[in-house]
Amino acid sequence: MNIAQETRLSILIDGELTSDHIASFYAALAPDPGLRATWERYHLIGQVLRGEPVSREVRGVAAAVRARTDVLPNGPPRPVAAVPARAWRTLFAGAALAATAALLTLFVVPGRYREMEPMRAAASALVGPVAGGEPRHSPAVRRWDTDRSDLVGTLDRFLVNHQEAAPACGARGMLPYATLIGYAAPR
Amino acid sequence: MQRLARDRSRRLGVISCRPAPRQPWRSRGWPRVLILVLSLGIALGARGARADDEPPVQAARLLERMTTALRTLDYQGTLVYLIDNRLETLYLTHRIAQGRVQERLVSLSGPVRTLDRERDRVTCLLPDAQPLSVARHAVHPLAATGPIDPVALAGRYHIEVRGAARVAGRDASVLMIRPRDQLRYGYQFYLDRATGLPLKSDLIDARGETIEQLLFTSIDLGSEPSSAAQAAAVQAAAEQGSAARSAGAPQAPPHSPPGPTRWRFDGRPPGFELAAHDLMEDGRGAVVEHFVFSDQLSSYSLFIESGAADGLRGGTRIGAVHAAGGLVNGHQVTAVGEVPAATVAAAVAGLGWAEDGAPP
Repeated sequence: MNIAQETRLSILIDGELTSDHIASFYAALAPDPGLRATWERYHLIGQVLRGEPVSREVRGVAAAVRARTDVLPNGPPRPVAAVPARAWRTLFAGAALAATAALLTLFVVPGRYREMEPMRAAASALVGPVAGGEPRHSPAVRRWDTDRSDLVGTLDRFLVNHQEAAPACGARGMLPYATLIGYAAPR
Repeated sequence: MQRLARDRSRRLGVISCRPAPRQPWRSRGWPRVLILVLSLGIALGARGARADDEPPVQAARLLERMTTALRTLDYQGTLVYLIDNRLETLYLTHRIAQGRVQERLVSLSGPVRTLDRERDRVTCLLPDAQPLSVARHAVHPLAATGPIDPVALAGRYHIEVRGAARVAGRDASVLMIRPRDQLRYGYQFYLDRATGLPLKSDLIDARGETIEQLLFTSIDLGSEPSSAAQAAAVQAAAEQGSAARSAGAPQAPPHSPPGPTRWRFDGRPPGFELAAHDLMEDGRGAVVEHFVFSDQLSSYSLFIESGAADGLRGGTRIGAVHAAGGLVNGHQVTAVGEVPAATVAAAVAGLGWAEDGAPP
């Protein structure tokens, strides 16, 4: 990972990266562990800033991406274009964002968690004890309405096999796969 | 005085006449009324028939353009996916390489989720599961299916061209395919006027109500291929296996249909016919029998495992995709498809085992 890529990531998170650069950025993201980790940190910062529950599962993404890229040939990363002139400005904005997140983490978030303590206790009473006694920061991802990861994996595999074999699948575009990729647990 | 009154009556348009005595209905008047009613009915019927004929022709043209566009154009863009009052943002890259669609779908919100449809594999990365990799058969009998045929769907779906709309800054034609019963879903496509690409797809139920939506908020189209290039791409798509071999690319596992089965599907949901029968491996290396049923638009799959004892019991779902499972004759049976819950439940309940080995 270099400054240009980090800047590009910051621009992407801001929703300002042009479509010409998005594809090349994703190609560079897959094989770069540093860039993936930064991606995760930015998402965590975004979640904290938006007041969303922090998902512990997001930390597993880098390992999962690494495992996949180790197994499957992805081809060489595409060259990244030159850094735009506004990169430094965006870099400062990114630094300011990170500083704000640090302040929030130190001073604001602990207070919010103390305020949420009664709600967390009520939720724990509803869902039962959590393994290891740790407080649950977010509802578990419950695709297919089950906590059984083996069953989730089997049903995911069945769904992909079904979509590949189903008539008219191609004619409907990516709609069937959008269900699998776009569906996230309620936040 | 009488003359004055007559003149005033004329000016006011009043016609003075003696009322005719009320005549009873005569028997010879009925044929005239009957002929009039029949003529009116025939005229209206003919007009209605013309109105019914026009949409299938127009719909067929739109669907054919859509299929051609999906198989010949390169494009990429940002998609929004709406389900259950929630919104997710995705990024899609779609390109044609050697006559075969290659796609990448990446989530832009929440944990990273990706799906790649490459030449011979589909790989999927989800945050709460192991990376998934599924082979794409090179010569699958259903891979070269043509466009959706509105005439074939007429018995199960109502098809209507619904005018114009604007999506992602582009003009689009709206085509609705609404199911006539509760056992399947339909679609409302917003098709780009210039290229035929679906810019927005709504999944709808029998009442026409939207269940989920997928729409481009921005799209970049690659260079549009010439008509000769389009024909070549369609031809290549129809001959995917030979195209892959001639290009020297790594070949996907060839499709070899299994032999006859002893499973019977007499109790399956109405309108769904067996479209494919295949064998696949589960993640642990065990063989799973795979049956695909389709009404030529909606479809579901039945997966039958002989050794699994911890499979799905009852129903579940992910978005609009439903699944149902249970034990049938000692086998774990799971039905999965983008169909209502009642359909997958009926698919499992309607499965039987032929003791005499009769074909299904």
